[in-house]
Amino acid sequence: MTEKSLFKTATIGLTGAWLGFFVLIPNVMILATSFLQRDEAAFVRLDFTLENYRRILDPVYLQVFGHSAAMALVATMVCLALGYPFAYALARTRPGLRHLLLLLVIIPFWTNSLIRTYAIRSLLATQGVLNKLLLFTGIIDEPLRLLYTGTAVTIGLVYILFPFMVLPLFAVIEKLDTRLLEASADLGAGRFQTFVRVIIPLTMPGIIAGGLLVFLPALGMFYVSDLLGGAKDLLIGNFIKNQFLDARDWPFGAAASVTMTLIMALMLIAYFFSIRKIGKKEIR
Amino acid sequence: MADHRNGNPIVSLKRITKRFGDKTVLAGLDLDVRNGEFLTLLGPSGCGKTTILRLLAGFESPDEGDIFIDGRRVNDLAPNQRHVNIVFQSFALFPHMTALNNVAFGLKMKKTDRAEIRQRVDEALRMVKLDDLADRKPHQLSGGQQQRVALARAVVNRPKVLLLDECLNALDYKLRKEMQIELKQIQRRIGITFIFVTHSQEEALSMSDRVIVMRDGQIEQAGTPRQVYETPANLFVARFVGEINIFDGIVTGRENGSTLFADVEGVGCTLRTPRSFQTGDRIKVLLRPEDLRVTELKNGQAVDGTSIDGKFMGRVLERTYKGMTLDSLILLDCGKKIQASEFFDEEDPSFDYSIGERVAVGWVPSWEEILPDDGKEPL
Repeated sequence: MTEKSLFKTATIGLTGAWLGFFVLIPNVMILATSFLQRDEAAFVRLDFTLENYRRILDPVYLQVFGHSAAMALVATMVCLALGYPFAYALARTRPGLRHLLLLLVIIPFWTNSLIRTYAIRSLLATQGVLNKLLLFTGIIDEPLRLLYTGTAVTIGLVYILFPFMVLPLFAVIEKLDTRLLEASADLGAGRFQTFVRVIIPLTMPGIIAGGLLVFLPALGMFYVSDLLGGAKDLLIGNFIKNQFLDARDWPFGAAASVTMTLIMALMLIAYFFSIRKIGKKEIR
Repeated sequence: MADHRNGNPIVSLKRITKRFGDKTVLAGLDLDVRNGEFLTLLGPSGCGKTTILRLLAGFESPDEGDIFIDGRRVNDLAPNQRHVNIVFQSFALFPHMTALNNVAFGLKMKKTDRAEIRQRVDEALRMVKLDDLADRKPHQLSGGQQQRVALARAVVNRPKVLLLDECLNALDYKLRKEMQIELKQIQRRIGITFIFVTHSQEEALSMSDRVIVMRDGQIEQAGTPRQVYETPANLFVARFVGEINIFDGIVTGRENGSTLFADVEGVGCTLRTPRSFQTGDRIKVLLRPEDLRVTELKNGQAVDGTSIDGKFMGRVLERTYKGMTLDSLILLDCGKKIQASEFFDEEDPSFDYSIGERVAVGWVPSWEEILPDDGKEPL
């Protein structure tokens, strides 16, 4: 065996082992657990059942899933509404400044998101920075109740996930051929028509990618709603965490987790199909 | 509305100056385009020809001067408000739309009635012979087909002026030849003014009613393809349009107006020119390769028995069989290299030269073109 192929085998083997131990086995365990029964003493009893999945279809739980999806969707929409113009402006900025701005987008990644969530907490608190500022400037007379609301959760999700929206959007907008925009104008389209009929369709892969990169993590970010939200603002992530840590119902938590993974997988599959449809944009 | 029958131009550029940063691309350029003509802007890259198209399309605005389209000043009109359409060098077809929707785009933007859109789009696609590929996306079409879609997409709007930006460049040689003929036919049929930009003199000569030869943001010559080729206004045009041999000479005498005697590269010649020169003037004698006549020499005499007076002596450096013509590179005794291109003579099957052979080079009398020697170095 040559040195090169040894290196190849070693690196692939190491990666494979890592993924096997830390991704495959835990996921198989969760999948298996979701078909088992709850046991007060040992967490799970080795009896096969579909009861956990049947319970998820209970309207009470479906409502939790629905509410979580709605919050994630709102966060995604806010990210898109803020991120699209930002990414567009970024892609049209001169290169030097553009790289600086991109760096600024990425810098928050250097701090753990849990710590940043605590920072938002101190900003939004009743005695927090934002309220003090608004009171001081006389815009409001008494402190706003921001913390422990759905709005705070949305703010937190948007803040943490914003770069995941901007980066894929930036990637597609940067590649957008400006001659297509000229062609559109030449053929009589105004700015709005060009935006709707040319720019949006051609940047759709970025919109979908950014949407998924925000929406899917947003479903699971339990610590954001734990730290910023009220009792009603549950995400699927909170729900799963509660089943494991509070209700001690591992099989049900596992079933919820598998369900969330399936929803994500379905959306990713839909994404790849839509990309195949839209992505064929090579002219020659 | 201006009346074109009175000869009013459809497009008029008045004293146009355009700068990009500190680089002046066009400097006080004037240009009138007649309604219905096929006009070609010809020049090397960077001469400002594409900038003129972009100014007309509205993608750029002039720093000085006025642009009139159909009698109306359009300096401040956005591209979508001008009655011109452009065919891009890269075609710039919308990749997410079918050929049909690409062609229909302009009409949809103008909120044209559905039935009319359908009818006009079908008509445009038939014109470019793509009616059976209407539902293909651009990436499913060949380069030539994309070119046709781009043309149909522009023409379907019935613009007052159609702008074409080097749009044959992306095609291979044979297809380019076909499209040249097709473009000309389409232009004749629909009667729209075409302004075509190219750096290929062959395209310019074969398609245009009128050629504008440009250099460094200036017009060097405007004329029919024939005028530009046969009577170039200056050495730049002579060199840029087609192959040419240039000889240096000094006028030694004149006779009744149009006849000159001159010492050309050490040979006494009789020349004809409508221009007036004085004895002692430095001149350039321009001869196209196909103007030249080459005779083989044997013992200092022409083998065909013609006189060698007023001819240049030299020796064949290279000969190239071109099918229809025999092209030779000849080194004259004065040290100048020249190109000659002769048609094969059916009567003389042995017509050929061997490399190194001594020859005499003359030309068909009065086919020479004489320009004053302005002292400028060649390109």
